[in-house]
Amino acid sequence: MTRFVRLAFSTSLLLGAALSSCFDAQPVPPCRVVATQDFTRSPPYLALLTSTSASAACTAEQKLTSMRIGVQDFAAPGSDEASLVLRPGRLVDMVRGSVFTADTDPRNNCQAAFEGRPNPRCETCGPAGTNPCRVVEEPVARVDPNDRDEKKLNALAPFTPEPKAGVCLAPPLVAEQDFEAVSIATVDAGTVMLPSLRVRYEFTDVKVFMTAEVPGTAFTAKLSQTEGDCVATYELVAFHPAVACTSDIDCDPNVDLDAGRTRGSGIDPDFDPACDTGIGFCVPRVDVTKPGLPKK
Amino acid sequence: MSRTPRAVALIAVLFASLALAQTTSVLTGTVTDAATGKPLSEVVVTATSPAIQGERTIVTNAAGIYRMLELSPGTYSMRFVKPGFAPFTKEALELKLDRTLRVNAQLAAEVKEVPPAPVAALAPAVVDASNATQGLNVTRDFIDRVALVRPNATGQRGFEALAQAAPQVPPDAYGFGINGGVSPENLYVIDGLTVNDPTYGSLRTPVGIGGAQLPLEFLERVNVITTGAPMEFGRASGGVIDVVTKSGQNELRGSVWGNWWPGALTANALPIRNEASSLELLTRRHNTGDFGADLGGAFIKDRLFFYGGVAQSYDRQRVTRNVNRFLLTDDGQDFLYEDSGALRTERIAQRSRFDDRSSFTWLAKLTLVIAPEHTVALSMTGSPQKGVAPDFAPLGYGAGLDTTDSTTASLRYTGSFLDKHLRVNATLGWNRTDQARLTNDGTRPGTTLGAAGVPQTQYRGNPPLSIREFEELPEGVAELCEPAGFTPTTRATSRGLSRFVMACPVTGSGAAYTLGGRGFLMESQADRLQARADVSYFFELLGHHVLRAGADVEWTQVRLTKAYSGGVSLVGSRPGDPLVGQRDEAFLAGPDDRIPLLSVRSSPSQFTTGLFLQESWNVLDAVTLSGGLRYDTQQLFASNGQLGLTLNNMLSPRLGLIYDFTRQGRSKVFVNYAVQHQNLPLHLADRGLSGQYSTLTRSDADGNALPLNVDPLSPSPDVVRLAAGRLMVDPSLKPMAKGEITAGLEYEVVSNLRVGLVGTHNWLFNAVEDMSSGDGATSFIGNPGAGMGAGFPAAERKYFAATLFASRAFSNGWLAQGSYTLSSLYGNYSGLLRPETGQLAPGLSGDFDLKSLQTNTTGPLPGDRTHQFKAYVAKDFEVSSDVTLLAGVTYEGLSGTPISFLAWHPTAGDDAAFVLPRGSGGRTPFIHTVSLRGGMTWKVSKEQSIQVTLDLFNLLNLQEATEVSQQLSNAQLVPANVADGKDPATAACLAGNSPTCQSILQKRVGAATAPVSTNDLNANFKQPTAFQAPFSMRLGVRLFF
Repeated sequence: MTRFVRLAFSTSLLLGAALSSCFDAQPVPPCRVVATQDFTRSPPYLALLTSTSASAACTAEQKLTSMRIGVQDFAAPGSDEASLVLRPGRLVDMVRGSVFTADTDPRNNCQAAFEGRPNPRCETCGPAGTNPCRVVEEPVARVDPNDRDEKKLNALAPFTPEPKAGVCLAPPLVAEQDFEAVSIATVDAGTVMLPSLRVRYEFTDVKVFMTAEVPGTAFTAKLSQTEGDCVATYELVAFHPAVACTSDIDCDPNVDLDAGRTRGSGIDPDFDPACDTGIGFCVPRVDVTKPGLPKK
Repeated sequence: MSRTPRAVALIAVLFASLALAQTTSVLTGTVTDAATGKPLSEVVVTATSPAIQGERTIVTNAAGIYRMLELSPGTYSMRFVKPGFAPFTKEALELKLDRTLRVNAQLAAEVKEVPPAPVAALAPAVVDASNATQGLNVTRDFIDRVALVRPNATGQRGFEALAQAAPQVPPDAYGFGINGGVSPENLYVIDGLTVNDPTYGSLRTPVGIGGAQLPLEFLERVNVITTGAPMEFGRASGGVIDVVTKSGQNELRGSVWGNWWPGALTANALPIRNEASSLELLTRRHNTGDFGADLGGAFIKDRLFFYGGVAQSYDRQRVTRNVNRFLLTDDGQDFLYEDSGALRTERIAQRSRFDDRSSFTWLAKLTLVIAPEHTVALSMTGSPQKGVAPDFAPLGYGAGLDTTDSTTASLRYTGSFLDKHLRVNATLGWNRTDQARLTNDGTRPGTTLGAAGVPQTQYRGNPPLSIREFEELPEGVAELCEPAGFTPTTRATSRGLSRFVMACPVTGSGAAYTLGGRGFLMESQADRLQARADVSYFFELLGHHVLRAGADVEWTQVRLTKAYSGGVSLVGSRPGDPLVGQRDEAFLAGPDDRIPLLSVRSSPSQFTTGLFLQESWNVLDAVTLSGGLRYDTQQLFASNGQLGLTLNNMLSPRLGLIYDFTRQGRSKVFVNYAVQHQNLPLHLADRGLSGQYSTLTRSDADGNALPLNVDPLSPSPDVVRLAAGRLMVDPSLKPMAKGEITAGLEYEVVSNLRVGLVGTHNWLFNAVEDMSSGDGATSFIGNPGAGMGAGFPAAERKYFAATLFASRAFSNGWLAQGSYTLSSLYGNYSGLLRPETGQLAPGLSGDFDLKSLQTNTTGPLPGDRTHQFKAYVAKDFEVSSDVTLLAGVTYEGLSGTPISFLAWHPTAGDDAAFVLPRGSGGRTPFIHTVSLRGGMTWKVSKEQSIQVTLDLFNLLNLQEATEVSQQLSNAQLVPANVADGKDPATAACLAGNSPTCQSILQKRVGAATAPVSTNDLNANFKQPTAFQAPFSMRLGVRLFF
């Protein structure tokens, strides 16, 4: 009897130990970024930028502190090859005409053109009366005549298929446009010519985090910005998603029925988001590049 | 897809492949000297039964104890012989599956002058005091005498339906939930081989037409275990349905049978009213029947036995598609109403078709006795099933071809060693399941020709569109409906619900008009390889001990091909408008570079292992203490073969204490604690771990692509990827399990009648589900309430039940079973099935997808059936020595299921959000079902008899609603905060005094809220969507030879 019991026990223990050691940890999926399943939105990431250099030609408006970036990965079923796309929000805004483009024509002095009336656009230019601005009725879309299908708005590069040590890498990615000159009407019934402008954003040293805590929801990179004569570089930390806010409640990932909030912000609660009213977006209160244990 | 050819099946039956009945029952007892009361050793105990080949003998030990292990269930005769004592025999002992029967004997010293007779012939025990297993052992006596099993989808009277006779087993969408669980959590076993669908875990599935099936005629017994299942049944947190098929014996025996359910003798089912659409689909039985034959015997007497059977069933339903117009007032400003408040309708057009389904089932068994106590057996079964629904040309309406084919083969060895102290069981098994959901012309998923190449288009226009927008109506009635292009403007309100006034709407208010192809198409083939072995060692040490140890391994793979007919399923509002492609199989190779895939293949797999050790110690025939530990692992592999999810160290302890105060096996006071872990079916490995490929597109009515114009920052602004990639798995994931405590009392009050009271409490823990902490943007698999899912409420399912039962096994011509269960099932998670929406997506249900869905989710669950009554009584009347009449009565009473208030959620869609606490909308009505069986058996000769039976199901033709629409609104309502519940409107609503609770509800309008108007409410809320099956009659004939 003892022999039988001993045999049964030792077999169980051996098999159990063997099985547990073979598959002792949950696997991490292949590299990917967040591709929303939401039918109505495709929220971009929000990048927080720390300037590391800027040429003298860079205006205050061109010196960036944050930028929305559209991010998506692409892979064929069963394929080991994947690609990553970063779509700089500032470049898209220029194409759509929603970015103010600096203009040095002295006739377009804000103060003068608006005859002292408050003009919010002037505030983005600098102290009233000192900073020359473009003054137009409507934002102006810019066009790259060689890229009418806007393919170069996307910075595209291969993406490592599997994460190593929780990080996925991509080679340098470039999004660029060579905008043609455009003539526009000003509020004082005149016209100005916006000169052609070469704009280029290059992301280097891209590291997308792929761990249980940060499943592709954050990445870091170095950004090189070229807008005409302005050349600047930044350190970039981006996370998903970019949520516009006016107070912390807009950033709360949780629903709050008493407050009439039936949807959360969509930001990972581990990021502990709060509203940065300066940039008008929710930002994490933790260092998303050094995630701790999940505490959602 | 490959199928087992019918010819092979027939050959297999004729030449009988190999098999053996499951042998897990035990006969035990103590033999004493009638004069002194002292134990008698060296008594030769012989057991014989038609259920076993030959006879089994064993000798009592020094303590007078004998124990025959691993017996097949059946009717036994026992004989106790010892030189110097009068032999003692006992006949007609009913040994049930997985049960221990105690038969004690007292032998009197033989006195030559007195005829040999035992001084005390102790009756056998009817209470199994060896274990705490609860449930119902369904024997042939029961199956043959009680009207219980209606035909399934293919007209077959399958084994699964027998589960409903056990206490604490209410029905659900895919079978029967046992003890608070749902059907995919059950374990289905045929002759020792697991036959659960590997993808979904249940027996029936959302695709195909059925699962592994066997008709009742092939069955020897079915053991429905509700609690305290033996340890060899692992990795299932629900109940166990353990089927033992018949085996051959020395005598050649067989039967031929036929059953007919005439459509003319089936009552009309109540129509399911749809007050949002003029279209109505009615299904009515036209003819259902089955016939078959079986034969069993011995090729070589006492050595080689065979049993085989074939059965064919068919089911023809007449499906009628009616166009009903809603009658309007003369000025066209309002509807005309029935007294009940329902809209008055008039049928103006009708078309009908026949839907045909059939199944062919076969079984072949061969048993070889290699040497006494050493048996090898091989068993094979198959059940190809097919369902064809023709087109209502040119429209869809469920037209299609569904097939399922489940084939099993098992090889089993049973033997004993060490002077029968050690018993060994070893089984090798294979189960293949082919399933398909095709278009009715049989074209394959992913082909562009035939019906598989036609996309499905659904129109949901609101304000509603007239039927004439889509189809021509017969002359003379067309003008009764609004013309194409009509847009209603007037609304009318009745019963708190508002509708556009219109005679012939077919869209809007939740209604949709669907045309074109079948939509989702699928073919799958699953293979399961199983190997299991267990050993039992019996020894004496301060009482009787049974030490059991076992191991099993299982590998399963499913190979799926998925497609949408025509490559995409489209949704639009009215013909000619742009269409949105919401479902397809396609991927993005790059920005706006959509690559359509005709079909997607996926082949996830899994590997499971289990080990158990169990010890049972019986002291003085009075107290049995048992304890055991089961260890399981499960690994799920993605389609590319990579590990996707691993569950290690599933430790399932059991502890039980049983006290038999009679010490004769006539009583049992017991308490049992057990943890049971749950296997995750392959669906999770397919959908969650292998990646999905689907895009959102927009096109004009001619199919030309249109841009989607989503956020310009989207790298792919014109085509959006919908499906998620492989899901992240929480590194701290814990396996899903159920804890259970059962305590009770059973007592044999008079001979053969046992009564009992059993209390059960079980609770689910560590549910495994997909969740998104980012409100839908990112998903992961984890445990709600723990680890990465800590921000979600923990999944809760608590079940409390008390069952009072009485059971009289068949003897002296009658049997009776009765039970009453009072139970409560409460929580926020039903388990592997989500009954509110019928979603069978184990591990990937919508329950915990979003935090914004976690309000008001706790309450009585759909499986909460407060009262359950079950009573089955049958009696044989011997008219003459040749003719016996039988009569059986069945009553089943079941409380209604809780109703919830569900609404649309901006991310999760229809019916996803609980507007008020779960189950606060009252209940569906109590269901009563009375059925009768009458029959006659005429003994033509010693060997031959004819049995004629008549079943009357739902004799009173009661047709209460079994399901109602729980969709309160397809608008976004704000879940009500009823935490205090003190204001009178909330209290009145929760008390059920306000059918729609409209007064306390708000809807979201942009960022603000507004009161809910009647226009926001679903016209069909709380209206029945399913009724009790109507009265039907079965005529059956069976010839035994």
